Amino acid sequence: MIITSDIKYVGVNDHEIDLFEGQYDVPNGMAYNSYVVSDYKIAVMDTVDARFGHEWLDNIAAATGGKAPDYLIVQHMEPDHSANIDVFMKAYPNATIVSSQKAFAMMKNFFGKEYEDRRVVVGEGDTLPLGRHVLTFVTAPMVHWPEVIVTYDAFDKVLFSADGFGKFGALDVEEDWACEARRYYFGIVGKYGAQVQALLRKAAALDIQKICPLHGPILTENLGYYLGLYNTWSSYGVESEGIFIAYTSVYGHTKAAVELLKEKLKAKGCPKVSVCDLAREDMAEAVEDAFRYGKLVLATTTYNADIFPFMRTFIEHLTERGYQNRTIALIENGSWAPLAAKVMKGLFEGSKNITFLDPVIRLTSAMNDLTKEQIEKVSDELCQEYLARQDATANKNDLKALFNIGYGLYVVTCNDGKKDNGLIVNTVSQVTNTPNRIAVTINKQNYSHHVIKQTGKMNINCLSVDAPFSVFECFGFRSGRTVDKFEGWEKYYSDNGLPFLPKYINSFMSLQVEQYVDLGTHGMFICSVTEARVISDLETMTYTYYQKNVKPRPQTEGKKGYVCKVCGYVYEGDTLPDDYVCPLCKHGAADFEPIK
Amino acid sequence: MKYVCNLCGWEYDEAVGDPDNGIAPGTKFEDLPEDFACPLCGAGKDEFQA
Repeated sequence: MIITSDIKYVGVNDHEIDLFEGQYDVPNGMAYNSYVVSDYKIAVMDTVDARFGHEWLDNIAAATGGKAPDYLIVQHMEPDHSANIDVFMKAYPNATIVSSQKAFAMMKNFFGKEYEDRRVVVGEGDTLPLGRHVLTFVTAPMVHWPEVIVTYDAFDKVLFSADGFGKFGALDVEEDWACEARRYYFGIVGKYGAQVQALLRKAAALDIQKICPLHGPILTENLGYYLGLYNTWSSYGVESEGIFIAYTSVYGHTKAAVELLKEKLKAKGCPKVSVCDLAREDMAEAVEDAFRYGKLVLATTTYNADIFPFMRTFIEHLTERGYQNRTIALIENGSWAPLAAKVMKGLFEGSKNITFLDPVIRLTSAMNDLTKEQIEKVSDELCQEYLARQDATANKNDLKALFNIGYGLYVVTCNDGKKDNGLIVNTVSQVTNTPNRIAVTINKQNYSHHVIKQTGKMNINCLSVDAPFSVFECFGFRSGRTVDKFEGWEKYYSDNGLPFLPKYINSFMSLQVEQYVDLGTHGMFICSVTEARVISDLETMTYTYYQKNVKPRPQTEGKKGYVCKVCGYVYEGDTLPDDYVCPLCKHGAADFEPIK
Repeated sequence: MKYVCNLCGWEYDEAVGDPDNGIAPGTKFEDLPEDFACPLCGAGKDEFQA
């Protein structure tokens, strides 16, 4: 096979192998690639598996027209590429080995010698001139062994990528690249995502037109596709939309739950549901699918007070390969003491960014109505975005969407001529930039609305994340008509004569009202900026941050009745009157929910 | 104390140090320079586990 006018393929196909690397099924065999670069000097790139020494030497002789090669470049020391080093060195007694220091140390371990007088040691950026072709070596530690180097030929713009971009399957069998390359990648290289990323960054600086890996086809077209997949895989990103279900089942009950779940997921719009029986199907394929999709369902039985062995093996395959950034739902079965979910969760303890869905689907032997209810819930959770994207299934009136607007929280200060006042709002936004204009919307019932409409000026204090709940109690939940909200505060004033908060803010702006817009319940003030100061580098307090970290948890423990979703006030009683108004924050009955 | 590289399994033994790379025997793991890299695979300090 001719790759360029000077580069020829001299590798071999192996259809005899039962398990590659002692564990991977390779129904279409395996290719051990090797290349000859012919120039003023001749270099051979890597050797092949021990069983193919003669065939390989014949290929070399045919490719060089009988001329003796000058160099054997050893990029990787795994025996499927290095086993014939000594055979080569005996066949070509004048040849020199070019490799990394670490590879020579491994040769000593494999062959008892490290060819001191017939070698060139190369490291990052070193070059080997052959004539027109000058080979540049790039170290690729832990992709996926420590000694690995890859080689770039700037003349033909070819990258010899060692095991990178390799796949299962001999070259005389036609098959899709991605499936077997993905199974190969996650099986063999998966743990070393960060190291592959480092190599991809180095490769990005090179003009590459062909990739010659040590397994699988030479890549000559559409290289962006292959590089893109490698980037997704090595960054543990999601390649395909869909859900992967991996299960074990002893008597078929867990399987029945899996089948029902699969049906529900499909009905709810999941574009692809892939299912694998871990005891009966290829484990390496299950591993690749777990990394391919963003959502994983694990279903297994409690077994020997642990989990079914195939599931344990599967999860260990994932965690030792750095499984991360995924959502996992669990199905457990157990006839007397189900603890499979707990064991499965525990196995992911050291994994990064794993989200477990609630509830765990639990079978205590066989499915019942409760299990079916749980399957319904979990399938809703798993299909949230699919349901929401489809016209037919979307809830088009889900006002929780508004909570996802990134509101900040602000204290608006003003003065009625007698005393300083302030209130909390989340309705501040910059609306133009030449000149800078800021819109602030305030409820007409608030005293500040009245004051600002009269005086035409205010200060906007941007609360920072260090603001305690007491600031909200002071400026919110009560009216400046009746209390002096600045009592006890140290007073600081901006040029417009209005106060700003001495602490708990990261900046403030003084505003002059330009326009007023009547919005019924609220009034919007559109203002120009007359002064602006940055007080600290802390981050701005957002409404989400306040809800999660500042607002005290409602004290509902042991109480019966209703709790205010806004401020946490608890109304104790069996029924909440429709016209009830929260005494603390003045929100109506609609903002209360029953205590569960 | 011994620390093992999570990527390649190379072991840093404080008693032995890493004389080939100028780390004297007895050097505590926390006293290794911040840019210390595994001599086998190049992994950084944060990839090591006690």
